[in-house]
Amino acid sequence: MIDIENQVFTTVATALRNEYGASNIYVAGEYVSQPPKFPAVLIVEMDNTVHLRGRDSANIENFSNVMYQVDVFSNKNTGKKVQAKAIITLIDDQFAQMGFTRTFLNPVQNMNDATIYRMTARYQAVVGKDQTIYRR
Amino acid sequence: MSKVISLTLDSASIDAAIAELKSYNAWVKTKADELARRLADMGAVNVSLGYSRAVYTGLNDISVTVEQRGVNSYAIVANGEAVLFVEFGAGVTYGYGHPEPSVEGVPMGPGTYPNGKGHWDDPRGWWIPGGEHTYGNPPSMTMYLTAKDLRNQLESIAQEVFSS
Repeated sequence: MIDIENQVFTTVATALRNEYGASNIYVAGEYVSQPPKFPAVLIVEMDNTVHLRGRDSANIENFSNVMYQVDVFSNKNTGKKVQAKAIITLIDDQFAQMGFTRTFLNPVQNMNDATIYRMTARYQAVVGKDQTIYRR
Repeated sequence: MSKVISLTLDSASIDAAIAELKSYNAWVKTKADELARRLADMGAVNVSLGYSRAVYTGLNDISVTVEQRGVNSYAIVANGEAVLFVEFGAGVTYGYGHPEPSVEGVPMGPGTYPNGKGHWDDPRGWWIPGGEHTYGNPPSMTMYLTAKDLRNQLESIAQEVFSS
């Protein structure tokens, strides 16, 4: 299986921690229902499937379709939207530099606590066996 | 898939070829629309089933329709207040309480009213404003998976449409 989750998470999380300070932002690679602090960022690989057009007789998996969902949560009393947008902009730059395409970005209400502002993005790419990332 | 139009260099044959070409052009337009419509209809069924089966503890009010948006262009439209929660997940809860203390200066936690005995961290779930009970839900990704599925099937569906 072609797996670049670790590299992707580390790249984005490092950029966020460098910008905000490791103790000032929470970044996780899996769903967390109660983040220990805010702002919180969840970067989760939601899809990793064989790219069908890239198959050959020798090896079925030469390329893989990957999709990451990024959720940014801010709980500030004022400026939560500004904070979430600044964070998602930084994340977006990182994904774009890696070669991903943003296929979705919208504010999505946070059902479990409406006082928390939430922005959700999805990024897609095709990844080769050599871990080269191709835009879709 | 190929189409051969034969003609000789005389006006009658050229006229016939032009007529045949126009007819072929109309056929391609009809088939292109049929292909787009077929994909949208298949996708709508898939999306509708996916959303109806998704894990969601609130009121699942999602309805799915196909709308024509232009020439050979159809959109699968999901309506309902639950759409984003089902597609992208319910989100998070506070893990530690509201950052603003109450008027009395006592820290407040979500769901801690009254007397600090709330259910925000209850494994049996909690109640959200509006009176609905929830455990939260993961993203169903129904639209995303349907789009991927249609892309994978596109070639075979196109062959089916254009060969009929």
